[in-house]
Amino acid sequence: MTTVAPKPDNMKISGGGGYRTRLTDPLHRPFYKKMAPILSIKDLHYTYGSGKESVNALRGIDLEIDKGEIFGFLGPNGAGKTTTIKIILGILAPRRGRVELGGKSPLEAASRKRVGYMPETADYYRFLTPAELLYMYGDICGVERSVLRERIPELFRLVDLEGLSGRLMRTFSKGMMQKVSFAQALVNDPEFLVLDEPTSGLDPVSRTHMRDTLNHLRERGKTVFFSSHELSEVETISDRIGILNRGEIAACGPVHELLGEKSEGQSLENYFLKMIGKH
Amino acid sequence: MRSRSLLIFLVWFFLILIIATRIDTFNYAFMASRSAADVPAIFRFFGEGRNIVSYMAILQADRYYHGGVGHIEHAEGGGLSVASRGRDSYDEEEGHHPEASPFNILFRIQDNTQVTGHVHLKGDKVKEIIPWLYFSAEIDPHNVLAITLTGFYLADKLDKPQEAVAYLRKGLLDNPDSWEINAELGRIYFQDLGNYKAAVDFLSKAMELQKQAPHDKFQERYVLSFLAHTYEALGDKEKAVPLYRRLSRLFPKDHRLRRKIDDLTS
Amino acid sequence: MRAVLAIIKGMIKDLVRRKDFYVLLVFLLVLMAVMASQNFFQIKGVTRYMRDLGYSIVMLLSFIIAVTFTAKQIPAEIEARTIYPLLAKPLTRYSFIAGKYLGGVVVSLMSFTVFYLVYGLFFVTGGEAWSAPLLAQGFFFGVLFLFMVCAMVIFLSNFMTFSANVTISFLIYIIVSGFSDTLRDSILRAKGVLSVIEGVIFYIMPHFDFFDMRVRLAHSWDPLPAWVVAAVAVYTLVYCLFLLYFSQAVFSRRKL
Repeated sequence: MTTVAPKPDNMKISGGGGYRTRLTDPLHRPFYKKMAPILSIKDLHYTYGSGKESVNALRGIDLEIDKGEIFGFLGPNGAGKTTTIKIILGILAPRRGRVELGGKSPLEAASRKRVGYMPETADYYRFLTPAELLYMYGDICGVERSVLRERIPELFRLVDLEGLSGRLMRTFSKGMMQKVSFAQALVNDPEFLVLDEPTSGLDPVSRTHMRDTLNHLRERGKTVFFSSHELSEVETISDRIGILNRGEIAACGPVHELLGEKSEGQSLENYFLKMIGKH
Repeated sequence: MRSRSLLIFLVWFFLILIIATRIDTFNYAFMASRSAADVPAIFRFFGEGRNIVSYMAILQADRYYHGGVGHIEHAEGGGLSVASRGRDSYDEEEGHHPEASPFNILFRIQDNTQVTGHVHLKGDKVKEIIPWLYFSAEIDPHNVLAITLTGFYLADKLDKPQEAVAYLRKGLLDNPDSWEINAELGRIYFQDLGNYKAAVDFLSKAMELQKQAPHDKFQERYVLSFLAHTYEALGDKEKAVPLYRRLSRLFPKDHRLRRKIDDLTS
Repeated sequence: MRAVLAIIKGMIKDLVRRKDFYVLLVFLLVLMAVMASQNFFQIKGVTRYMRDLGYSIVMLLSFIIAVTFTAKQIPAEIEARTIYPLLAKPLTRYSFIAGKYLGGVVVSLMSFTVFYLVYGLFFVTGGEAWSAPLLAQGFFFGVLFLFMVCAMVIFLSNFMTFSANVTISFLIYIIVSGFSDTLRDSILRAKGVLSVIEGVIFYIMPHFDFFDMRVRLAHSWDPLPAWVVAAVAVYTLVYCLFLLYFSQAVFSRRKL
């Protein structure tokens, strides 16, 4: 059983999650005992195709995501982020290596019972209403109907789609679809959330709302694994980040450590470009 | 299939149908007979393929006559023919398969799901073939076989000789040189309506037209025998006997003809 | 099971909210009404051509619904990228295939039932004597037919796009319905390797001709014996299970 030190009254909260840093730093959390990571990736390899046309998408990734943290997953286009996400969700099987989600292989359907996934883009069924979509996904996840009847209206309030839950989605804009996408990821009250470009297509107000929601989820003990090209957002909300480049982890750790200790206070963007060899 | 695509397809289909038939009417208005231009648009749309569709409709009528089981009846001269209707010999091409192993379960299922009996429609049930004969003639107004078969079944099997005559007369407008339609009209006037004068007119016309058309001796017998019987019924032995003699020359072994000639000339 | 039912419900809503089904239903009603109103020389009670054509149209329209709805399921999910959030849920690929297949079956059965009711109405009011067991067998064979069509289409959708799937499915239907007899005779007359090849083709091809009750219904032949009905049902079950097994085997290995 993990015990977390309570937040001291005189603790200064600074950008980059200073409060969180003190909590995760063993020197500042005398009662902290390390829990098993919610996601464990060891020596993950994946290759597309075979023979001369094969492409090594992942070349030995090692990663652990702790429970209750927000992990930002960065990388240039074609780095292997989507492949990694698909393997975490059990959509692809690893060629080599080991992936454990909540102690089980993600290829087992049961391991995804408390996982929520928000894809980068999804043109949800145009002939359904958002409410029907969430009920459908809730049924697939095995959530009780009585629970869904309470949870789904809350989710629509959360994503600011309260008055539109009964409208067919064929009339929805990209931003509205994105909100629906986020809502469906939460329908089974997941412990582990995988978000692919969660703020893509959202207006500034909605983006801020999304960031606040993710922080709120973290406070409730949820784990968030998200991929984004918006480095400022990543810097703001992530506890740790991982930079993927050409199928390998180029850097991984808390943002302030990567930027402050190792890179003399430079911006995340410059650090990112440096890690992927473009600087 | 999106409903919009289906709607667009239907709109285009009917537009082409209307345009094609308007062009067709424009051509026909100059040259063709009145009734050809009056053929329903849907049937004119098929163009030259009408002949094939029309013949398929006749085959369907034949199938219906045999309870839905495919069956081909061959006249000695080739092709279906009104004149050869009385013949009993035919080839059964469907309904019998080569023997298959009793352990071949799929073959056994196929054998038992298919209908393979052989029946002929009787009595009032014959009316079921009329739609196909009607369609056949509507699709191709020059399909003489469809027209004459329709006339035959209407007059003889369905007891509607007046309707048969009206229909055959309409068919004659599109096929004025058809000896078959003239012969069928003559037969109906003779056998069903008792109008011997009209029968003579049509059968004589049929005889004249037949000389210029390819035909076999059985078809010639069909026309000559009805004409001869009609003259006989009118009491005109002078015209009947030469016809019987012609028949006797065609079928020298038919003793009934010789007896008939002897009776009429004695 | 609940996951499969959820997928099926979604597909039913698709059928109900699109216009395709209603267009086809109106088309059927108009055609049947036109046929029923035809007057051939004032002869009353000419019904067989209506029963014949009506049944063919009902089967064709149900086939269209079955093929077009089922063929688009997997390709549309992949194209719209909705397959990823779906498979990220605790849903096995087998359940996904089962849900899409059964959804296609339910959707096409719903359509077929309505079409068959319309057909049945014209059938019993046509004037000629009718047989309830024969009508029931016609319905049952139509149901089996649609089970088989959906299984075939789901299997093919693993390998081809929506339009290719629809085209191939129609071709298979036309070829099997038209040439099954010819192939059988050819097998029985052929010798050697050709006989074996043709025999294999005969067993592999979906025998849609088994479900054709058109002649029996239109021409009032006797209903089929119970053992034949059972044999066809077993054949359908076995064939569908084979196709579904291979479908899920292929889909499980598919990189999405």
